[in-house]
Amino acid sequence: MKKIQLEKAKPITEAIVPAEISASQCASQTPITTCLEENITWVEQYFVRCSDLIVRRFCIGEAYPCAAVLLYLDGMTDSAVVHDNILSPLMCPVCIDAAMGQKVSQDYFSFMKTQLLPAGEITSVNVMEDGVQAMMNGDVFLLLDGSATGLTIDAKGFPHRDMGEPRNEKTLRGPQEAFVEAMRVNTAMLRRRLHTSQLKLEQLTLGTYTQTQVSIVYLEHLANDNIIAELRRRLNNIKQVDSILNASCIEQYIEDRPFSIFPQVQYTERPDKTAAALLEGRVALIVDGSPDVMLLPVLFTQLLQSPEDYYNRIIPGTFIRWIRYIGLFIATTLPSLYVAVTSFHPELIPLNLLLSIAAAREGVPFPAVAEALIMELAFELLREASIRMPGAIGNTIGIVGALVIGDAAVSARLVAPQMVIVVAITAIGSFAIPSVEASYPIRLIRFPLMILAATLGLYGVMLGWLVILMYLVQLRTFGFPYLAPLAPLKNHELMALAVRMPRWCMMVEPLFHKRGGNVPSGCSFFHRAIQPLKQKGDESRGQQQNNFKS
Amino acid sequence: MGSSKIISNREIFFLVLMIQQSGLFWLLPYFLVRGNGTAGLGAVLAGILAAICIILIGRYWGRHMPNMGFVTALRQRHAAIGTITGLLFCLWYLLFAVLILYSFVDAAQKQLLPDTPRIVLCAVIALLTGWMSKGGLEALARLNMLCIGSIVLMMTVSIAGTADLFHPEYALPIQIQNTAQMQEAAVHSVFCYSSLLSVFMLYPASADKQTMHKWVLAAVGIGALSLIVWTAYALSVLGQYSLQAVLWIPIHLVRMVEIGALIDQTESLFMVLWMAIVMTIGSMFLWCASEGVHQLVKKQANPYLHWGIALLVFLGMTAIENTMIFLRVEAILAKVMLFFLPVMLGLIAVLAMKRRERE
Repeated sequence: MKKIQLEKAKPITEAIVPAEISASQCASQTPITTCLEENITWVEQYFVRCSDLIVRRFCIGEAYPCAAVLLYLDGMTDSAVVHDNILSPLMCPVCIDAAMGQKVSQDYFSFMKTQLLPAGEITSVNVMEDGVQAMMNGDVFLLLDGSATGLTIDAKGFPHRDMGEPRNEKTLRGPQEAFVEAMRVNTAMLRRRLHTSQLKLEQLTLGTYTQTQVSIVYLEHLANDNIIAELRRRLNNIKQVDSILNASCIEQYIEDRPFSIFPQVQYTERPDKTAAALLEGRVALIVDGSPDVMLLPVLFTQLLQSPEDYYNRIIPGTFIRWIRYIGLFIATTLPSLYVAVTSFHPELIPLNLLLSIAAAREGVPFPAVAEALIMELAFELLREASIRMPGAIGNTIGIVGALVIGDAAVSARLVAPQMVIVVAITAIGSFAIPSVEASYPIRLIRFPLMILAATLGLYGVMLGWLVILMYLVQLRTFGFPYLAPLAPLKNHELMALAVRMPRWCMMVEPLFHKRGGNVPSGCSFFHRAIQPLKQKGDESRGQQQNNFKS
Repeated sequence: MGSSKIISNREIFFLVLMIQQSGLFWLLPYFLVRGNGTAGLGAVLAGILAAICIILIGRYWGRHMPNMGFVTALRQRHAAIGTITGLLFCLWYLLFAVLILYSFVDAAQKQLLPDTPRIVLCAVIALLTGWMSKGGLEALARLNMLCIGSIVLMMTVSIAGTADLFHPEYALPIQIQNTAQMQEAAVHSVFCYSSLLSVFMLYPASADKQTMHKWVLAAVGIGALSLIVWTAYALSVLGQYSLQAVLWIPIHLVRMVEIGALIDQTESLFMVLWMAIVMTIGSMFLWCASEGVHQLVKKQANPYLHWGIALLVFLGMTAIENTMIFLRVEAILAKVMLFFLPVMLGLIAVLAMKRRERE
């Protein structure tokens, strides 16, 4: 047995080349032997040069002593749990001897699992690889001399960030908690909102080195089976990749068009938004180590919605939504429109305004497009710099950049004051986009549109938009048209897009729903988040609709 | 999971055929009126009859040749005549694509880029439409759906902005001595607006397969109604003589609109919207030609073939010297096709029936 262990361990100890480690990890299944020292040696060789490996040898019982060892990785476990819930009961000879009597050697593990150890989850393992894998997940691996079985005991206690407020998806109303890096905390937050056994969490491990835990989360009776099956297929295809460090690593493997500038999945740090998406029949992907949960599929219009739309009253909610649409238009097109109109179509501008613009531009050495490009690039620089800087310095840079440099540039006649206004309004418009991932394409398409406006005027802007729209209508996300419900036209969803409808009006089957969903449904985020979710539907949707209306 | 091909190629191709046909069947009353001396209700009835015939032919082809391209279906009915008819269809669409895109180039050059060589504009437009049509009819239909808003806006503005020039008596045949002149003007207007109809009628291409026929009927109805309204309005505002002299009636009407002090001249703004519509329609015709040729040579989604068709469109655009002459040639060809194609289709049906009887 020892020979076998050494043969298996050899490549691990020698290997600096990562591929060999992964190969041995994947291929071998080393049984636990009855010789404790052999098992310890195997683990030590496995974790060779790993200074965080803790090997705690001790003896169980006095009357019938048995050598044992606790193996765990320092920092991954909760010391208090290890001490109070594992070591203390095991090292209390009075308890052991009194309880076990003559049966000690016969059924130690059964006694420990059922009576001795007050730990939440205890699992028997027969192969070393399972034991060390559990150690890397934060469990404690217990081995006894003379036993070919080990126990993995839940004692996870690795440090993680406390639950805080959302950083990128702030709202004035509604819940103020955000996901954290620990997957189990995130799933618990979802479970707290969706008290139903229909909430399914399929777990799988991705990444040969990182062994990242990933959960596919969905509501069984609502989610579209095809989406789940397709997601499973795409995830299974990437099981052998080296590393998955973040949800965005997975995104690059599973999205339909990786080189597209438009996001084909949505990220959120809000549990309430995730719960609402699940109720829409969408699927969430929670990746251990990532504070953002991936929602898929996503439509472009969904990227422009915010949870706050549904926390506000109907008319203010609708108003805010339209402000956001205007923000989208401004953020993408205003600079190019300014360039096109001032350079090619001055007849569109009223005479007084035209004269004012002409007077302000007098002495500016650059054409309008150069001004616009310089100012937009400067603004992007400022934005990037202020994100990277610590809070106070970031704010200072923003103020210095916006006020001082802008004012100085106008005074020095490098740019016209109107251009500063245009760029500032454009920036404000881009900040109105609630989704971070949607703001990148919006910022990017601004530049080619400006160049087209400078070369072909309004025709150029139109050609640019035509290309963008044509690209968007061809884009699909997990089989769904990206630009729905605009194209193809879905009347009810389009209505909900334009007006934040009252909750009792949202009785349309969402696009992603599996047909026969037993809950009346709306067509946007949060339409049902506060409505009661029934178990397997007995009531028809019409009856429930009446209930909600009443 | 949604399918990228909700409706089959055959249905799509036929749908587009119907779109174009329905744009032209409104000319039938004109020909009937001019040929037989009938007028009024008779012409309207003839138009309705033509529309019903087209829809019935569509249903016949749809039911008897499932999952088959239109040109393929023609060839299967009768190899030689089917091939000729299919080829004619392809040429027809190619011609329309060239015409529409050339009009875009012509307008863009006259309005904005007088110094840019026409060949450069043609190349850019051919490349762009080639890329757009490569996305398929379903994508084009979705794009058109977004364009419908522009059309409605443009038409609403043109009607609202020229309401003070509205003279309904210009469009009433009872008060006009020279009805033939008025009919000529109306036909000219129909030619101008018929391409807009395509935008309306493409909507069914993105509808579900089950409801497609319903949407086709609705689109034909709405398109027909819009065409009548716009033509009558154009006649009422411009009068029969002025109307015949105008090349792009929608733009001409919009040019007459003044929107207060905020936007002094709306012409450029609406010209841009018009261009967007024209581009999508041109792409649609290019797709039709490409799809037909693919079926003729029995190939599926061959990029070389597709870009070859786009190259032909480019060459066609560069070969045109005069838009008005080209428009006249196109009108003559359209009339020929209008009578020739139904005869060919009928002939194919009869030959196929006889073959079935023999078998």
